[in-house]
Parts: sequence; C-alpha cells; structure tokens
Amino acid sequence: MQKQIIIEVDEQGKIHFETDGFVGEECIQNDVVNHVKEALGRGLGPEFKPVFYQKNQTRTVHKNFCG
Amino acid sequence: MSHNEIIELEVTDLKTLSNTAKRLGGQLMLNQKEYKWFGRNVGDYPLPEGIAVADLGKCEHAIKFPGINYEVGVIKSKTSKGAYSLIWDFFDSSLKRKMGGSKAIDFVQHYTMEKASQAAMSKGRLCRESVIKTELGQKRRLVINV
Repeated sequence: MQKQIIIEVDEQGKIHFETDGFVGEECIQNDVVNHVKEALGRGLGPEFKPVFYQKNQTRTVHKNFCG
Repeated sequence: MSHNEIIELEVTDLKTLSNTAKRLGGQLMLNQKEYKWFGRNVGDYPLPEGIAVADLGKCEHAIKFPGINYEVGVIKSKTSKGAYSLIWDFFDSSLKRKMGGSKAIDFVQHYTMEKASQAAMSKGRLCRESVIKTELGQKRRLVINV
C-alpha cells in the first residue's frame, strides 16, 4: 500500500494532517512525515488512527534450545 | 472606517510567503515599511491584541495585489521570536475578496499548501494538490507520496 501524507486545510483555515499506509509507530518515526509536520508547525499534535496501535506483522519462531 | 486584523497564521519563511502571494496574483514587497490601509483609526473596530494605534500602517514587508488599493503588512510576531504575523485592513472589499474573507482563509490555505509542498519536495517527494468544493466553501488538499 502506498504510504501517503494527506493535508487538508478546511473552510475555517484549520489544518488536518493525516498519514495513510503506515502501521504502528512507523508514521511517527518517518523522516518525511516529521519534516512536513515540523514545517507546518502550529498545534499539530498526534491524533492516532486505530492502525497506530497495531503491531508490525512479525513472525515469532519459538525454538526449544534446552533440549 | 478601518477594520485592522491580524491573520491567524504564523509566517516562518518569507520564500513561502512570497510564493503564496504569487499564487494569488500578488507580490511580496521586501523592506516596504508601510502598508496601505484606511490611514486613520476611527475607533469603530477593536485593535488587534498587542497592536497600538501608532503601529497601524507600519510593517517590515508588505504584500500588494495589482488593482487593489489596500495592502497586507508583514510585521514581527508578538508571540514567536523570528516569526512574522500578517496585519491588514479588511475594510477594502477587493482585498477581502482576494484574501478569502475577513479570516483570509484563501491565503491561509495557499500558504499551508505551499509550506507543506516545499517541505515534501526538499525531501524529493511528489505532491498532488486539489481543491474540494463543500457546502461551506472550499478546502484544499495536498497528498504527498512518502
């Protein structure tokens, strides 16, 4: 899925900042996301979508090393 | 009659401001120390916070639009060091229309699009800007491929 930043300025001049295609903390660690957010500055605090709370899909393999 | 107001926008970059003015057909006049307004405060509208009568008409730079008499003043921000604020007399209906109403929404939208797209492009990213018509007017959207 294409990772995107979507910025909207509404009819009242309010900025809406959203990321799409990121999973978990990927979005808050992304260099481009942080750079654009910092450029816009004012009051863009984190507002996380449910997907933020998903873990990256990793496969854990349990091996029995103790015989 | 004068209606001086500070636009709700913190300007941190004059290049972005210049590009925003160009988007709307205007020009940033660097080091123009006065902006055109009614010229006399008659007390029919409250002064913006932190602005005295003596401050009206004075600025660091100005934005002018062809065919429009009044101008937008670029002044030092009263709240953020190194930043600028925009002050204008929106009693000029042509300027008010150009800026997007008394809250200068068109200007704020264009400035934000410009600022975000510059930041994205500095990281080599592509952007796509669009205008979305709504019941309340229009909003602007920028999509940046990361």
